[in-house]
Amino acid sequence: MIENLECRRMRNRLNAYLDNELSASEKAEMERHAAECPECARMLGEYKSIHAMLGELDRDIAVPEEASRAWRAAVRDEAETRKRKGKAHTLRIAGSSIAAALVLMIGMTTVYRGLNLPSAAANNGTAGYRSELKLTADTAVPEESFAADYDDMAAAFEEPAFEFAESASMKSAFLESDGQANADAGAGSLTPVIAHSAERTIETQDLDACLDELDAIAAAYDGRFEYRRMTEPQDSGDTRKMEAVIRLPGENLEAFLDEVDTTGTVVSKAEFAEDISADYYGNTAKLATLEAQEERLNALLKEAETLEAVLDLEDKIYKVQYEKDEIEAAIADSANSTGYSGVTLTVNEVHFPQAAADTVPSLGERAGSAFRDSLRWVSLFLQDMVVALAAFWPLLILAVLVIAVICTIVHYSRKRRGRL
Amino acid sequence: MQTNITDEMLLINKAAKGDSWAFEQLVNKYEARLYSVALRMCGNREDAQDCLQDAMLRIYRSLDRFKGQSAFSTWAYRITMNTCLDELRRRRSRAATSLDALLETGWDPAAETVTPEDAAISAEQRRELEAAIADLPEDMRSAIILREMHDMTYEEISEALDTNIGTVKSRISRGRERLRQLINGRPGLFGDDE
Repeated sequence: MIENLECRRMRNRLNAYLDNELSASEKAEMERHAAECPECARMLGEYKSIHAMLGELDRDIAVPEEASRAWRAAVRDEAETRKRKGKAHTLRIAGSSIAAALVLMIGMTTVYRGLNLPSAAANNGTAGYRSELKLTADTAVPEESFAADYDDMAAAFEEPAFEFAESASMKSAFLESDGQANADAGAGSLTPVIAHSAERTIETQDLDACLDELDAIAAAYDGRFEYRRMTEPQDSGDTRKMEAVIRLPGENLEAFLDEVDTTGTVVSKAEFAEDISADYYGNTAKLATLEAQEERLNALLKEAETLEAVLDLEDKIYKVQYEKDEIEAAIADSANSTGYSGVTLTVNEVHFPQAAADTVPSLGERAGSAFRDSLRWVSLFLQDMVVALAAFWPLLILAVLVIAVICTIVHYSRKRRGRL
Repeated sequence: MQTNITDEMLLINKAAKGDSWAFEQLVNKYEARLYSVALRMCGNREDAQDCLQDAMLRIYRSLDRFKGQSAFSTWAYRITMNTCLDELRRRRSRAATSLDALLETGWDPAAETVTPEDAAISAEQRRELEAAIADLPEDMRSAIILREMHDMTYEEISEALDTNIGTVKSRISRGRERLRQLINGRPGLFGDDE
């Protein structure tokens, strides 16, 4: 029984014995028992043999050269792949960042333009703006009978050119006054009085230079600006515009218009001829009638004996004088038109001028024009992009930071997933 | 010793950044031991070579996660053991391979290592021992290899096998007993015939 207990104790301590975990006395006790118990001695011996042999089994093991080469080559390939991936990854990050930045910039510029904020391209005056300068011209047919100056013309109409009573008399008196001969007094045909006017709409990319040129042309042809108005742009999409009315001697109209057409691109032109004969002759006749009537009323006033008659005649004289004033004003308007041409001019400053009104561009011209227009558009867009960058730089920095954080999170989460 | 540890950490840091030369310098002194683990766990040279390559690549890729939580050797043993266990699982899913089946294919355990004339154990003993090891269940085999052949402490073995010390002791105890029974079944190893 004791022997079995000792044997059991020995078996329980075998591992500790092999692992040197027993004290010297415990070890000695086991060896003592082994010396007395053949079975336990055999077991201990086997354990010790196995323990010793296992310890020796791979003590001098050599790694086969093939195995050593294989793992080293694999590791080197892995290192190279990692370097390539690193470069590709860096290029991908750089490319993605640049693409994201471009998208951001284009988006910002588009938003910026949509908000119609003032842009550098709109304010530096170097791009073209649209402006219109209209010149209208009125001319009268009897050119030589009237003086160039309005005052002289008004004075000339203070004396009636004819009497109203008979059309023949009207005609002969008129013809006599303007020096033109018309022997058919009974025919009833009068020389028509035609008022000529013209309109021009011009586009230019350099409004200031164009206006300087127009001033010089107007001065050369004795023209004067009766009306002039400049419109400044209110928004980034608007352009400058010039509207004016120039009056010049009728004989200079054609030459004047020819030179005006060279100052820019004519996008529209018009010339008008209005027959104002009825108004012209009618008003003159009416004036003569009213003056005769006034003379008779004044003569009657001198002979009036009663107060009632005096008041009545003065009232009539007042009405006649009122009508005379109106007729004289109408005649003055006609006189203003006669001998002078009025030109209504509109000059628009533009970015991209349209084709001239009377020209049909060829395919090559259209393609070339379209290419130039696209280059100008790109230039303007880039200018707006720079201004948008200056306007939105805080938002841009914030967006870049957010994108960088997101990319970093995605990168490390992918790395972690790759390891798992 | 301190200098060696510092040198090892420098190599680890370099290798973690992708320096393959630094990695080779780092693992050169562990190569034979790791090969031994692979050979004894897999039981044949070809599988051991594959496991060693896989284990080295895993160690290389995982270096940036090694923070000195254990000795580098223990960490490397752990990765190697896991690699071998993965291979054995794959092998099990293909076909059960017994020692006899291996022998029938012409596998000669003794061909794995050369036994010098004055070796402590004979070629016959080596052959029998290798066969007995290959016949052990995997859990006992791994503990026995690390304890008996690589002289690792119970703490190191528990880290390498990712299990507690009690389990390690149990596996070693059962593994030794099982080896004794296996070897007893193979006459001649203990010189019984003499």
